[in-house]
Amino acid sequence: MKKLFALLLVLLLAAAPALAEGSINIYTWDGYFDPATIAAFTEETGIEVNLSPFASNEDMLVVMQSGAAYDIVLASDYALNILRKADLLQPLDMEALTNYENLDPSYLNQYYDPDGTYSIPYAPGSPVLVYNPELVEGEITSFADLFDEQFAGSVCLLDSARVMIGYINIMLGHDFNTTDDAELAEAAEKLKEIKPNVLALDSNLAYQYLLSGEAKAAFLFTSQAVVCEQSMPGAFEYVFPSEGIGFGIDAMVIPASAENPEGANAFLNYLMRPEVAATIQPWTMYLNVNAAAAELLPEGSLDYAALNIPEDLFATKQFAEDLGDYESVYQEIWSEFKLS
Amino acid sequence: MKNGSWRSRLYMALVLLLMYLPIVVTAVYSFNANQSRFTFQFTGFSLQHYKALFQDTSGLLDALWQSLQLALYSCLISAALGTLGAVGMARRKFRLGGALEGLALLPAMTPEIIMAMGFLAVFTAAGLPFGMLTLVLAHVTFCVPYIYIVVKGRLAGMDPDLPNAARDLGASPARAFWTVTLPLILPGVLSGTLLAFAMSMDDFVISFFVTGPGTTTLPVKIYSSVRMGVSLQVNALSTLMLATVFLLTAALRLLRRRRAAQTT
Amino acid sequence: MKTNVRKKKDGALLLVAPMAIWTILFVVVTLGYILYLSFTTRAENGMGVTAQLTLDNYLKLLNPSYLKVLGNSLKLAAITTIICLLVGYPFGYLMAKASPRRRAILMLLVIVPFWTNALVRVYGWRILLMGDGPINVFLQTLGLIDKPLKLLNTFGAVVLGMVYALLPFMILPTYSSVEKMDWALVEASRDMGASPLRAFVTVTLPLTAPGVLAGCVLTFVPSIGLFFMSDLLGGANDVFLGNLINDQLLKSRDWPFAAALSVVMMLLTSLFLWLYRRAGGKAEDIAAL
Repeated sequence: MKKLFALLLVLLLAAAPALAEGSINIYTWDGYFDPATIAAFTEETGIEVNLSPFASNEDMLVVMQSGAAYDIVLASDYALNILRKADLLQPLDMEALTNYENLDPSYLNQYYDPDGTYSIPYAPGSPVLVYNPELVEGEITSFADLFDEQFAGSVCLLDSARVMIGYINIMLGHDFNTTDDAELAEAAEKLKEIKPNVLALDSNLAYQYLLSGEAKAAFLFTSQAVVCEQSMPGAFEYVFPSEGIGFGIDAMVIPASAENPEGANAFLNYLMRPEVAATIQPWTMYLNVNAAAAELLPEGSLDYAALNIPEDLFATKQFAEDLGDYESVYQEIWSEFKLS
Repeated sequence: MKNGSWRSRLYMALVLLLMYLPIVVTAVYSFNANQSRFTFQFTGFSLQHYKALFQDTSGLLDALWQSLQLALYSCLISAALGTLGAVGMARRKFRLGGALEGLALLPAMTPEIIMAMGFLAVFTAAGLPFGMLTLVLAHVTFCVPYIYIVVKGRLAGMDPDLPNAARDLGASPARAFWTVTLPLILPGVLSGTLLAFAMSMDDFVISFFVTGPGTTTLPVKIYSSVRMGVSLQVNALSTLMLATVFLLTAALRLLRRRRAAQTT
Repeated sequence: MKTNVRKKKDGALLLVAPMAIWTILFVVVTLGYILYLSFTTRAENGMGVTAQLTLDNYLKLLNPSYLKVLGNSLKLAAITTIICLLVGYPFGYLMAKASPRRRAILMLLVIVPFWTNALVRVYGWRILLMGDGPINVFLQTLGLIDKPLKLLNTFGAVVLGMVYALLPFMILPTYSSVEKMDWALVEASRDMGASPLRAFVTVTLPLTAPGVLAGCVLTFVPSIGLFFMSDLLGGANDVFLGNLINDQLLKSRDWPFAAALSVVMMLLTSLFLWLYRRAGGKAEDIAAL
């Protein structure tokens, strides 16, 4: 029996991957990169790319906080802000990032990286309110319209306390990220009014209810709304709520614990090349961040409602910023809302 | 029993039908021609997902291989630990036996996310390299309870004098265990191990927190793709796995039958 | 007493030792850390904890909405276990009575679905239960219903998902304890004039009780903690302890409170285990008769 254990131990140690010199480890959601893009990078530079996937920003944060060493993390703005505040990031090597100037400035220097020292935007977008005009009476233009009786039991909201309560906040004329107890109490009350209309709280599969006809309206993330429009052109209406919009940017950073920052910088610079960047938007189906790549994008890549946010609304965009301790107040309101 | 037999067969068939309903859906959708991420709209028959699976640009096959290795190591170690433990506990009443049993079973009773947080903190503090080693340590810990509890159920009420009789006849404790006890409890060990194997193959939460770069197990891969949409290649892979298991079983049966025919 | 003489050299200690060492190394240390965590205070910047010990995390539990979640979870777990028992026991029983060759095949058939990823299986259920899914279409074609039933996003769907996920954990232990049962005892009771039902209740059931109890533990306890089932199949109201712990830990990043919730959950399950041990002890006594 001892021999068996010894043998197993040897096998286990042998199974640990020998990471080649000149490789980088990227931590992100599965499917965020086109395998072809990565293969081309490896062919050109000889740097191997290992993708390790996580399921959510929150999972990633716990792992990064325990000191895991990844060379690049691609995650959402608020999560990157938490990493930055916890001193878990290292500044980008701007000398190596010669293609940085190709980026569209409207996605740079945001709250999670005010001086533009840590991050490269990858996939920005805003949730889209999608509705089925055949099942809905009249035109829908605002979040407030979803409170109407005609939507009884047929609205899908995102299962996200921060985004949904944020929308209520701007609807009530408050800040998207308010930390005022009285304002939030008001939001909690308002939120309860929409409960009878809620079919499901679902961030990933809400489109299923739209397509099956069970939902009259649903919030979809940018890429889902694009796919929806591709699969069933003309079947749905796509709206950005007139009260103002929530916004998110998934961006790339280099953690302080990175073992191969040179390789990481090289990869980031590669992704910002116009001809490479022009393959990213059609893959992610989020907004295009690379101004120099705009002309190189395949014909029609941007011809979707979800990718054309009206300028006046774009100016109102609000991020669900991390609120530290206060985060749990939002979560509690959300739990109460679910249970009510 | 004769008259009840068609009824019992019908019953078993119905339960199995229920168990296989979603599996059938999974298999049917693996042939979906739909190219978009809205994979649940069935648009026609195609083998494209199988083709893509074997070109392996998505890394699913590698993830499957990692998962199989992990499940194998974890099952072997936890089957040994759990079985020996259950047999030992049945032989004698230990003073702290109850406490030990309770503790050993706790991992199966604790929310996975909490076990995961605990493992992450403990393994980090111990300075272990995150990867296959930490995965196996964690998986063995949550697999042991399943084997222990099923083997214990099997041992309960078994005549404790059988191994003793073997001992009285001069067998060493080890020999008594291998030749008497183990064959008697084998069905229990087997069902426990099968459960543990399924648990290990399916675990996402704990695996996610104790894995490192380069060891992505299948469930970690699948759950992480939810945001972009789970690919139908996963369905193709599951269908192939099931088909393999069934074909292997059928082949084994055929082989055994032929051999039986030859010997008689 | 024979056992006393043999006590020193029966090797029992040696057999238990590996499991005991493993348990102390990995379970006691890990859960000890969780217990410690449950008395700490969350850090100022919202990440991690500070070692300022407090009981607040437990007091927070008294909030009525958390108690409601706890109640929901226990209800779900109880319903799941009962259905698993009602469906799984007969299956395990019949499986044990089948011929050895068929037994092996049945065992395989029961476990093989579980080698398909759980998420993929739940996706399968979602497709089946959709408003325009096969089940609704089937019922409509039969003319049993006029318009689609709402199957998805209901408590019933969560129960279905749970039963589906946990059924083998009832079937296999039941099977393994029925399989080793001494059928002569059942025949004896039949010979003495007991009806089949009576023989079942007075002989078979007590003899197989340890397996049934093992099955109940293996279904009841995990069903308190499983969370993604309610996320994918349940409605907005279906919040259970597993979801709550997950959200507190990951979304609110309140580790101490999540740890406290888990400790309470572990205490609850330990209570259940303790009952199992007591009942199990009794069942063994009965079986030994």
